[in-house]
Amino acid sequence: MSAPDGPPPLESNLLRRRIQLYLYGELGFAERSEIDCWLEQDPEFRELFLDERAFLESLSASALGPEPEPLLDSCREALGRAVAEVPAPCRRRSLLARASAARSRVAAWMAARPLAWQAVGATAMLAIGFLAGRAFSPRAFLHSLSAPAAAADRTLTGIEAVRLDPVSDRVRIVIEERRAISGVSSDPTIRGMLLDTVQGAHAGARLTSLDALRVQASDRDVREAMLQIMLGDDDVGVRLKAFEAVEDYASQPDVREALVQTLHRDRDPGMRVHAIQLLREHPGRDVAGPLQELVERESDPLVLQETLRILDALGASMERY
Amino acid sequence: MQAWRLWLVPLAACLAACAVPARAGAQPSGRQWLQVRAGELPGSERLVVRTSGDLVVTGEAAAVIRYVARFRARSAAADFAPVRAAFGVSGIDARTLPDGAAGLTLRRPSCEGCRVLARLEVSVPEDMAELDLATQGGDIVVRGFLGAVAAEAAGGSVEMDAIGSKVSATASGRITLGAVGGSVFCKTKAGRIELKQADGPVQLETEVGSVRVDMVSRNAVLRTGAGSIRIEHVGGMLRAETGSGSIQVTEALDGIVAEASAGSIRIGRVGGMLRAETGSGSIQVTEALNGIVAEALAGDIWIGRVAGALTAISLTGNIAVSLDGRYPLRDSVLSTEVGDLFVELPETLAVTVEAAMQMFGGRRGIVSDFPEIRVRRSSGLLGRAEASGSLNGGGALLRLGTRIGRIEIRRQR
Repeated sequence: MSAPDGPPPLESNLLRRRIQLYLYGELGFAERSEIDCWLEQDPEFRELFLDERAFLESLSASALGPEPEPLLDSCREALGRAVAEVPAPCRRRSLLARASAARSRVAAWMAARPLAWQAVGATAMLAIGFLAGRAFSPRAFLHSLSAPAAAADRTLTGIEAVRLDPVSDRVRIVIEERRAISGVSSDPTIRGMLLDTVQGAHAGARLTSLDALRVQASDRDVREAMLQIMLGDDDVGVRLKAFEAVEDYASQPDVREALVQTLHRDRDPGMRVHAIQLLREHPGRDVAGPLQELVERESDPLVLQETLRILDALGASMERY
Repeated sequence: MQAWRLWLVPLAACLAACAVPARAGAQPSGRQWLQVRAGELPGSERLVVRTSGDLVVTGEAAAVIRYVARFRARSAAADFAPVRAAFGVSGIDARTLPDGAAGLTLRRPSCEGCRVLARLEVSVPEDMAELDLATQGGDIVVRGFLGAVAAEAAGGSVEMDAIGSKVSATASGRITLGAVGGSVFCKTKAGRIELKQADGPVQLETEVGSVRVDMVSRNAVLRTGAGSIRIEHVGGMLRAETGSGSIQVTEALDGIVAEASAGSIRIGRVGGMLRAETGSGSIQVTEALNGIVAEALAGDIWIGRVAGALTAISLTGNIAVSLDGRYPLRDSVLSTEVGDLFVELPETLAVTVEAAMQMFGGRRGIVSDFPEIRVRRSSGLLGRAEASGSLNGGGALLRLGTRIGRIEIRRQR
């Protein structure tokens, strides 16, 4: 390291960071050439380089190692055999005693080495994330084509970003976890997620969720959510989808109330036309008053015409007195 | 004008003059006043009706045109004098038009202090050539007519069934069509459109409403500004467009163009080329016989059996494709920016595969069940990964690419 164009001192954090960047493929051409040159000329640097690479690869191997399933399966099998060999009455006491002793040992070890276990814990969490992501495949998407009702969970994990902080020498990896859950819409978990989706996702997901929830519209909670969408969603297509989902329940008071609100509030004449035509198919005295109000201020000729028809069918006067 | 028609005009004028006089009457019924006017016209090749209020036309095995007009008035005041005055001018003009067509024009009076509702019912010879119908502020219903129908319901809905020839309908509300023996052109401002069957090309458009079609023997164009589109069978090409809503097609014998700004697209079987685009929503195709171009900005793409060239592009969705060895594949591309690619290949398929993963090509970034498809990773831990190889001696080029995601090339089981 005495050459004038040699690398900085081996203890330098800067040097280690540059090796890491080199290994991550983040260095430019000139810097990579410099590292290559040092590798050829400086045995100490080469030793440091190999050491650093071995460390990073050990991290990588634990995160991206071979298929985890066989290892897990063999561990489970071995554990199962060991447990089966222990007589049942003493097994519980033995396990409890072992667990208690192990917990004491781990607690003492952790108290003595806080920095070590925190780093190990963080690495373990990272590894779990990778393993979970690698453990499952998008095969489930195709399977859903043939067996849409199959109840199976899949976890997909992808890396969104990796940032290296050159000051603290820490790597920050942003992992996006996507879970694909399939099941019938009557399943409480699925239904809950669909109800969340209709209020927050993009329009395409809201439309599909409303389609899925349609068969649950007899449920008052589901219908209430649909009526909120019908009255409040920004997208007229989504409002219309919600309308179509509840139109079979046009005789229900909550739906009738929402239809009247649509007539009075919806800024899209198309939605008002849908609402008044549905009320025409299900006329009732309960809507006579609101419709009489509507006659006085409705500007759309079709809505006005349909309103008059309903009032006529009800035998109600067409004006308010 | 052909010679045989020369005597038609005076004959029609004579018949019109001799038409059975309309019966008129007005009587109170509770708080309403009713007036009925009825009459007949000789049969003609064409009937023109201009009315306001509901119009119902029924085809019958008869030689004459019969009509009944019903006026119903409701008065806000106890004094029915305005109603009497209104009924004095209400009625129907029945005559033969200069071109020989039969004409019915309804006179609905305006009435101060009362509202008048009108309904005109007409029965026509079912073998007439054409009906030309228009109403202001009412619905039009036509049933059992062998000829062509043109209907315009400016403030209402249209309903037709068992029509023998072409149909043209414009409405403000719903349009419901049963069986139609010819082409169909329908347009409505707001309302759903339903069609059971058409033996001819079809064009259906609504600004806000869903479109439902069971069967069309020829080409079909279906458009809605907001609402879903569902069609079971198209004998020709299909173009389906929606601003916000899903598109679902069971079968099209020729090609399909399906576009949704927001909403999923689901295609069963398409005989020609398929082009499907959605802004936010998924695309699912079961079988396409002449290539696919599928683009989903924010949504997954599932492709089943496909013959021809396949292009599937997504920005933030996964793409899953299961190829079938019996369907010849041409050069194809599957690409997503942020998403996973999953491809199932049959053992017998002759194909050349090139896969590239732009970032984070870890050890399992690209996986392949086929030893012929070799995976290569860059030296950098977070760098690019590639895979390439040929199966069964190679064939069409299948290119797979993702920027952030995984690629799986699996053997079909």
